[in-house]
Amino acid sequence: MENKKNKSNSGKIFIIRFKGNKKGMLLAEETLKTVIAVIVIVFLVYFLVNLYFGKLKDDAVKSSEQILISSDQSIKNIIGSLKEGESKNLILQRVSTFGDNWHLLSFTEIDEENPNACAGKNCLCICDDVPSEILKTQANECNKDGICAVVQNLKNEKINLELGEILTEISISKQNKEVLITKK
Amino acid sequence: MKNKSGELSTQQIVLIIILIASFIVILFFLFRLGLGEKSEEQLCHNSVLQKASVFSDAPLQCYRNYVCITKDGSCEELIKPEKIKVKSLDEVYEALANEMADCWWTFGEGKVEYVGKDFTKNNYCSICSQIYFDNSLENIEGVEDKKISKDKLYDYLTKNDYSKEQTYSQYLLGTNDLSLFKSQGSFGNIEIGKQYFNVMGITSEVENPWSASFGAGVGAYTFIGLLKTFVLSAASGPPGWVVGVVVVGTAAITAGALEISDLIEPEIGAIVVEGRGINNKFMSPTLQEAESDKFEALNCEEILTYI
Repeated sequence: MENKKNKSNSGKIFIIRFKGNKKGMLLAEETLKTVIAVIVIVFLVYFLVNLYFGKLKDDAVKSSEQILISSDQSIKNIIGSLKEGESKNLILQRVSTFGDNWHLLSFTEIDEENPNACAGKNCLCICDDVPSEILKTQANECNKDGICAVVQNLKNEKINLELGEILTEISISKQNKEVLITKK
Repeated sequence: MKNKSGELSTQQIVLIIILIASFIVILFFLFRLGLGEKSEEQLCHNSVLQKASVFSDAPLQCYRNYVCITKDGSCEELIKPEKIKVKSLDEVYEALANEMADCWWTFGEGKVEYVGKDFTKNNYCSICSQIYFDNSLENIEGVEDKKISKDKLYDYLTKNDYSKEQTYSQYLLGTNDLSLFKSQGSFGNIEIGKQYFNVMGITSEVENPWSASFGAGVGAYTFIGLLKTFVLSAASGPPGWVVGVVVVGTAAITAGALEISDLIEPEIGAIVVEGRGINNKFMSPTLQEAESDKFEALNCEEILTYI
């Protein structure tokens, strides 16, 4: 009965061979080996891709840190040196690599969620822009892969400036004890 | 069914599936144990010890740990923090004492000079953890006006054991006698709903980062970090390894010759201890509100831990 059924269905001929002779058995073993090999290759590719993009992200974070905190002309240092009513211009260069779209963003008390490094205060972050917050929030992305600096008196306004191929010029000013950052 | 070899390969498949499933279950439990955090701490500790070696120029591998102390398990202010669930005020103090002791251990217990050749500044700080005190702690017995007393935290350190041989206080400061500090003022309070840094520091051998007052405020009010050094004498010398306290507060004057008596509501910001076997002094782990003026007053010229 079983043979008759399988003969009418070419898709199951393989099973008859599998059960009936050693060649079929060999095929099953080979299939298993192939499946395992594919799994291993997928893992290897995943690992290498992660390693490569991890390195690119590290470089982007380092450049962001220079722009935001550590260099002499960093945003944080400029803000620290500004006096009331003063303003300074700054040109921001691209930090990201291909595929990424890093932005200068602000997180203030009006936002529902802030990156941990903001410590509940107003802050500026440079990180990859999240186009849709369905899967991942912007704060989460900046928390994981990004750099943030607390700017206590940052004005409660949304800043979202792309640091793309075209250089971005910003103006940093201090008015009424508040720090304003606008695109020029 | 007739072919035994065929059955064996089915068994193999089942076996592999079971193996993979078991592996996933083991992985799940390993992640639940949170061994990653411990190994990060160990990695930092190792890099601190390595830095003490003359030949090593490797950077410190230390990252800030994000902790949330909560009663009900909610922690809205931090993203994926390490949650510590507490039921009583004593458990809050225990959690804080452990954080402070972990920080002290990670950075060499005052026995290691871990800045190396780049020691050009006077006070290098390490923010070991950023702690959020969740709003649910308001409902804990003993918490009044959304505040947790730091004085009681220091009392806890003197009365509870860190190990079989010593209390937390003996481990951190070399003494259980904190009466001398109490005469200098209060340690202040922790405000629920805010984030605090658990921070310690290492100072230069020659310069004292707190000997002079410095201003960070605007106008008549100045936040200062002022070191009150205890008089060294056989009879009433400072207890343990303590050499002084950093007093922080606001002052109505901005003059250079500022005295502690000029301060409005002075607080002990940190306790400074002598290094053991080395000439550097250390700011023992202390809790200060994150990015606040009081934290600024500790005069951390560089932060060694990564965000």
